[in-house]
Amino acid sequence: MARHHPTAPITAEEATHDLLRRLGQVRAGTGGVVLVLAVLAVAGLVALVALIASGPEPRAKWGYAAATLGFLVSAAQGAPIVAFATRLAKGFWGIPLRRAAELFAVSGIVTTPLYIVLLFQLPDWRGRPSVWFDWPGAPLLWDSIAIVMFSLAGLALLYLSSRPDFAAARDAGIRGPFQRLALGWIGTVRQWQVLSGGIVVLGGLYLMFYPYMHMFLAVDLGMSLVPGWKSAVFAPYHGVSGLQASLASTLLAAAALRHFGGLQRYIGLAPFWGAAKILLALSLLFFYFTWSEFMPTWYGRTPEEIFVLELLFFGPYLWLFILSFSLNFILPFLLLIWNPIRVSIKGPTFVAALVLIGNFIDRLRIYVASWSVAGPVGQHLEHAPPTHYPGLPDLLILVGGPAAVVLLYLLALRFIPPISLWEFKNGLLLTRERPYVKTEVAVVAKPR
Amino acid sequence: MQERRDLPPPKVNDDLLRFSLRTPLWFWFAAAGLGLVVAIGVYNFGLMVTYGLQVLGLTYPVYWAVLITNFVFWVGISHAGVMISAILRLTQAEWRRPVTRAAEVLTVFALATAALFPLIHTGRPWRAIYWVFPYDFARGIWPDVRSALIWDPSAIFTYLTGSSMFVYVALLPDLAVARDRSTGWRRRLYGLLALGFHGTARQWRLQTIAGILLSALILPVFVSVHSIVSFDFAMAIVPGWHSTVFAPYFVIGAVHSGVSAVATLMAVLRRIFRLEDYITPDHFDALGRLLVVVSTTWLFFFLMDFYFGIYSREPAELAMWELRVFTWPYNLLFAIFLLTGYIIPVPFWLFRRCRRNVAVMFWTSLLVNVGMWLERYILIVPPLSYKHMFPFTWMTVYEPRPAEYLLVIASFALVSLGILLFSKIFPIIPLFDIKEGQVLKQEVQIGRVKVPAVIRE
Repeated sequence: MARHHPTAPITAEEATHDLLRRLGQVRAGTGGVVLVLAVLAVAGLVALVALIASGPEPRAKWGYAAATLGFLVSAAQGAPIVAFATRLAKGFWGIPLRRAAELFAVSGIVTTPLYIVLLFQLPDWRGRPSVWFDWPGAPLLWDSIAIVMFSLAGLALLYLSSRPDFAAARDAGIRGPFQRLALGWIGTVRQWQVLSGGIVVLGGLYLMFYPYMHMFLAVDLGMSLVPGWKSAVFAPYHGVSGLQASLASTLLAAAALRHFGGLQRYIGLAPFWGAAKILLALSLLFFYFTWSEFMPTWYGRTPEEIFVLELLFFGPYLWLFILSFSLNFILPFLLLIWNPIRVSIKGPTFVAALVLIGNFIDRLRIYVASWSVAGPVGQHLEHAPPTHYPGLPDLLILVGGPAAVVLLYLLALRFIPPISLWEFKNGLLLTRERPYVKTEVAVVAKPR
Repeated sequence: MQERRDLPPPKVNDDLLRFSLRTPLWFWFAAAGLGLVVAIGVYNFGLMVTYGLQVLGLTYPVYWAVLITNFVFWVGISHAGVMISAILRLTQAEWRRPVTRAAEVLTVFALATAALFPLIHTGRPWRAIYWVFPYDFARGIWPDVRSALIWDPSAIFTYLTGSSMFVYVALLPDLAVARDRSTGWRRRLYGLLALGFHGTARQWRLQTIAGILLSALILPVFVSVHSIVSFDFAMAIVPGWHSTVFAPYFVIGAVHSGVSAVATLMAVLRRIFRLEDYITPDHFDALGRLLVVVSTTWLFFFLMDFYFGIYSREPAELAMWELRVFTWPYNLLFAIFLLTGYIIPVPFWLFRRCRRNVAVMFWTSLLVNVGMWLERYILIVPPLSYKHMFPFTWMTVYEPRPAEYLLVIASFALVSLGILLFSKIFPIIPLFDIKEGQVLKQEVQIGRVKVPAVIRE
């Protein structure tokens, strides 16, 4: 059996019928999960409001909220890139993952207000190093515009790629707002051309915007708060580690959909295998960017660099650095170099879980440390302040943010099929199984 | 790939071994011309050794200039081979097949040429024996293992060894074919080099495994080489150099110039060896797409270097960037570098019609390397020549002398001559890879259209 096929042969008609009938259905046990997530999300929101009400000082108290934002932008908002990249590279193995990835665009509903709230907590900006260079309204106005545009682009991409599936649901007579969501889609040649062109343009924009979004976030809510910290590789590092976490989230979502959503026939081994190779490459890149940042700083040894090293690597957050480095690089590398682990479903899923935890810890290290020293412009610190431990509001925000994203993801699944139906059928059309010498191989057509 | 030409094995053998087994007249003129330029370079180097470094334009404190620029440039070009060969092989990109060997050979000759330049730069190259036996017998001093003088040669020679093995392992089946189709001294030479390859199942398996292993093992070396070269600069607390982004910026810049050089080389090889059946517009299309991604990533890293150079608003950094961007003659070089390195070629590559046009791809990829050479020059020289804190180093204006220009031109001739001689003796397109592509070639009928397809495991 060729491994690029679904685990069991399935026809286009069967897939349409099977995936569409799930829309609007609530599986047993989902209600409880949704309730728990909703309670956690509301608790996080209440904690955030309480934090806002208590005023911006001391700045250190915002570190955990910033870390939550950093984690969500990294682990969730980068996921649509996974879908777009596999489309761009005609990676057929990625078809079952695409919708699972694109659905993470709903995280923009959580990250956008949180980002804007945090921008208001920043200390006085005048004279502070910035990528905005004293533009009027910087960074509040420009960062706000950036995150709003970024989130809208992700949601637009999700909507655009779901439109043919909405039309299929409408035509199948599924109850729900599909008539309105399909916006008159009947699958004319022109509509398909607009769809494919739109996905390329919108996906391209999202891809181009992604590194800059990470730059604004990493610099304005992290680096600029630390006296003397200037690292040109930090924004790319943030982006690459975000991509690693996004792929991990996508894999975990796919594994959950497969296991709990009964999608074993659609999400086979191939997407996990294909994604595992990329996860390995991204783990190596994580190491490379960490190394690139560390080496010149270590050898430079100016007083500012010694301070940054103490704050972020060897001082109060040493263990967070060791943990995140182990979970993002050492363990994924040691596990994913083995073929049997890569060519499995459990192996890449387990590594994805490690990576996601590692990214969470890494964002804690970066943002909690940065906000712990946030102060007036021109301040000079000899030593890093002690570890800033989380209080109850911090913990509620840390849990509530991701819970809100998962909740929105589950709600979106009520209206959007978990597998991109039109791409899945397209994949079936372009894939054949043929005898080859003494075995059977999958032959994948690559139209222009 | 859209164009699937039927290439039976005998035709592949005939076409690709033609130049190795028969010598056209133009080859002698080309080899003699390139050899002459190399000889002029060697003579020039002789003058430099005789009269000292005064024949160069080096002026305190600008002691790293054109020769080091050329070193960094050729190390960059050398990234083509691994980028094309190893990565595309590991990702099973079908279009790699005719491109790999030329890219790998370019790597070897570019790297060997790059390694010459630090030696030439010393002015007293025989003293570089210290790098081979790093112990100062006269003074009893052991080397500083943290020094760039240790790590640069280590990285470069590891990469050179790995790349040479990469070329050789992939060459074995073709050497066997050449042996079986030649006579006399050629047969003996190819027989010796083919190491008894007869195409048994075991030999093919070992050759495939060796290829995959080398692809995977050489990747870290490929990344580390230019990273270590970048650390020659980034470790120094020189404004404009001391940047954490230098390692990935250098690597992606190297890939940008390397892949562009491959596109240029493929256009030249296609023309002079009449390889239209093998190097098709589809290959240029694929290279063009790759270049759009690589060049845009490179631009992002350049912008990061620029942004975070001026981000902290330190006077020394600002002065250095002012020198690079606004001060004559660097402003002109900076403008040319940006125009040729990105702004002119990339818009062409966005259009399929341009990507499939060999002439357009040739000229645009050539432009990229003009830009990338200038990029290295602007990276290296202005940080050394900006207005330093001591008056006696103010306003140092470095101007390259004819000797430096001649050495640069000779380096291009040396690499070209190396590739020409290699392709005279060995097939520059891998026969076995082309034949494998033919075997794996598939088509899928969809409606009324036959769509090219690939086998996936």
